[in-house]
Amino acid sequence: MFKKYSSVLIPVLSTIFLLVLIVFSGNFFVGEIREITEQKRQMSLKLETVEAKIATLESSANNVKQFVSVASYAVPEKNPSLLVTSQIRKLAAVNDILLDSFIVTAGSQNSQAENQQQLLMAHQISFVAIGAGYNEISGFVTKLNSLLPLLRLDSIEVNKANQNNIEAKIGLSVFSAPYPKTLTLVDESLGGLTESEQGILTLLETYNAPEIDINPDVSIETGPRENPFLLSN
Amino acid sequence: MANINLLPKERASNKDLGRLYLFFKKIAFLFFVLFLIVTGVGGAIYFLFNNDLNNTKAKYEEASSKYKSLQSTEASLIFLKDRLQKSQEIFAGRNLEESFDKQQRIFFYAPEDVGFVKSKSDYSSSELELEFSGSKSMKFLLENLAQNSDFNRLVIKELTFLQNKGYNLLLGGF
Repeated sequence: MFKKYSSVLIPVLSTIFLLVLIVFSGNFFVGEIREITEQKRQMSLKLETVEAKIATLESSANNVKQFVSVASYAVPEKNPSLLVTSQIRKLAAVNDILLDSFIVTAGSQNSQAENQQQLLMAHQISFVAIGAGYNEISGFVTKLNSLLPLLRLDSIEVNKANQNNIEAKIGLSVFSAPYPKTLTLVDESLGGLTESEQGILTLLETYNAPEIDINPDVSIETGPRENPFLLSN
Repeated sequence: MANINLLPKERASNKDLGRLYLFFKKIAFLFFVLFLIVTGVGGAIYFLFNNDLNNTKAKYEEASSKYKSLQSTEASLIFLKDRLQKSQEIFAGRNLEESFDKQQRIFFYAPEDVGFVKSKSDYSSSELELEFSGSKSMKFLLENLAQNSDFNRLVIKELTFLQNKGYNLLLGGF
């Protein structure tokens, strides 16, 4: 019986073997191509993000760095109470306002805060301003809003000190916040300045900045700094 | 005419097997060609796609190194965005400035003989006290304020009359 069909058996087995081979190879290639297509899709997305980021950074390279100092004056890293006090004194001198009874209270950092980087710390300043009339005092208070570092009026009580003078008890808050320390990931998107951010920047530029330099070092350190106290031979 | 087969029966079945053998041989050949096509086309597509993926990877690596050269700009941009977001928070909290500004604008609508007595603004209330020598001046101010859309809501908290001083008006709700 086997001898009778042995001549047909070889082509039948070859056919079955080839059929299995076709199915397996087809399956293999479909799987591989699908995987490559998926990898390509993900890589293209990453590439698109990085290219968009490069375009954003290249277009903002010229104007971003020049605004760093005005932004650092607006909200400094450390308590700016003394800096603000000096700014207020200068403004008062220009507007013929007498200042008295300065009290500075430093805000405390909340250690329970979830993200310390996001924290805006408020520090309180209170003082008494004395001027010749209501217009002088109100003009001075209005001009406080255009000082850098930024401050916020918390309370104001204006009274007649005597027949010739008006006295204002003013309570303010000034702010500080730690500088951001981390950059985005390579394939994490980063937009340029939005219209509202640009608007704030334009506004801050018109404000009265202090004359001292608190320009922050926002560059990334790539190696250990040299010890400046080591004597060179 | 009668169909007479003089061949032995074994030979007849061998002929059928021969046909079957030829049929499967053709099918096997066809499958072999199909296998070549599948592997050839599959291999070619795999090669092309893999090549495309490698090109994209190379472009990504190139873009990544270019991005690294722009990291100081990125640091400045992130810094700037962070400070601007915090500045915006401070601006959003400036509510008292607005009520103090409204108090100042009262004087634009007041007659010349109006006098300032006191004012107070904090997060709980905002008040302004003015003095008038006569009721006509006070009426003039109140009429002006009523016609002005800047002051949607004002509260007259107190109205005092003293024979020797005149009228004192305490306004609130700025």
